[in-house]
Amino acid sequence: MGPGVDPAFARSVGRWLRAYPRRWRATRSDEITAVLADLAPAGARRLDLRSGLGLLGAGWATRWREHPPLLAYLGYVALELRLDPRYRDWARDDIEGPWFVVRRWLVAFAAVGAIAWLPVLGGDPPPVGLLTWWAPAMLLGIAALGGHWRTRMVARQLVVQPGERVTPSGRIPGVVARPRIEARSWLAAARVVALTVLALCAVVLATAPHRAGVVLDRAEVQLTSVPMSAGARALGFGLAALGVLAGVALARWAVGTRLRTWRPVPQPYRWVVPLGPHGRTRLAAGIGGGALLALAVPELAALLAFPLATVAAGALPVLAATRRVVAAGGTGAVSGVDVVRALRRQADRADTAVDGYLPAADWLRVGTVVPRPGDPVLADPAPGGAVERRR
Amino acid sequence: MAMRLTEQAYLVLLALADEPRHGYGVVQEVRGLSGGAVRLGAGTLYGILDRLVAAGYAEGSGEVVVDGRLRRYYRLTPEGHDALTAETARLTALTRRADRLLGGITRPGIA
Repeated sequence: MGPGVDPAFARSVGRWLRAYPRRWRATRSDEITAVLADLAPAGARRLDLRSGLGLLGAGWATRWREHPPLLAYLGYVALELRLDPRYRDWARDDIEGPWFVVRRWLVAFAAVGAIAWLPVLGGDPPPVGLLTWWAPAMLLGIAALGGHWRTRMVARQLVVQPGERVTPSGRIPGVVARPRIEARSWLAAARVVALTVLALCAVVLATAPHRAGVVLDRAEVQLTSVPMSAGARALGFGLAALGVLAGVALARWAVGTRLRTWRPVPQPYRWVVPLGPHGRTRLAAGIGGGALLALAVPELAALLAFPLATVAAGALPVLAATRRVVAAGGTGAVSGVDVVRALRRQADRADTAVDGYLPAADWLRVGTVVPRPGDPVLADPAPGGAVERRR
Repeated sequence: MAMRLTEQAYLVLLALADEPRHGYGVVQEVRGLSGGAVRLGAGTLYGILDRLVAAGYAEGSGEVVVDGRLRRYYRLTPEGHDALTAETARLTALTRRADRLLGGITRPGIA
């Protein structure tokens, strides 16, 4: 917002404007904030309750007005059916929202849960144990497949088809630069993972009554359960302490040199992006899934806690030193993959372009009907868009 | 896509009849046109503007920044002008009928 609106007032308005869809806020929030500032008494630092409630009602009315009908919505959510193109802008908001993959998970969870609980109607005992496995499996699924689900829905819902009108949210398949997570975001995420893993391992090592053991019996390998002795617990914490020492040594003598001497190559097909809400959702799901998995298989978790605690404890000083060098601008590493390559003393490699989606409005003006095969082509390309640039 | 004109939507269209106006300008004009009886809140105004634009009755006509505040102007389209004219004719006919009806009867008194 411009200097003409008090920042505190703009923040207050921004909170009420959350009632509106994201795409609406992206294009109109500055305008409506200016009108509200004009209407408010001079010196107002927050929006009055009456105006706020007005925004709340109007925002939800906007959401309701632009929402697909119930049946179409259920088809979209449950069966991924394509919505009518007039709801494409709504679909884009939904797909790009941070809750998209979570809702996708909940739908799958509900479907499998309903099938699994059907025998209860016939008098069978409820399959409560299913939750123990299903919840971590689905959380890990979000972490691993969240991006794939999103891309699949973009292809199905947002790509404009011949005969349809181009809208601001329309997409066309294309070859795009490869996205890579920006170094600071990547380091912050890695630190969260290392800290969480270390904390979980500490709890497991301190409290687990048993751990899995491996017994070699001639040609057979058997997994057994053995009690966690005080010595084993001490060994686990000792390994973690050793990990810290090794990490401190690496941070002191290797990290700075490796990062400073690492030479990046030009990356014309790279797009450095922050982790963002989608990445954070997947990160949280991965951590949550891992924690639930540890509860589901406590003895195996107790066995894995030994090496994991060592690695996580060693990673923390290395990550801290790396963050200092990156923040000071002492390295050419700008993305997470650069940091990994530099620390592993690997040479940089140029990324290649990947399949992706481009805004259709960069090809044809918004409102233009996409030509069908055989139609005269592109009489009205978007000004400054891809077609005009090529001419 | 035709749109049912409420009193507030009609007043917003009327406010845009003579010249393009920005949001605050529309609010002020509507207040003047209604003799102070209709005070549009920002939420109501933008709900109406969204529907008028979707119906093709109004359109954006540029934006300027004044004192650090973004002002986006809206103007009537030919379809909006037709709808406004038709609604005004309907209201005029209704007023005429109402006048005729009220002219022929006396005010009920208290028995």
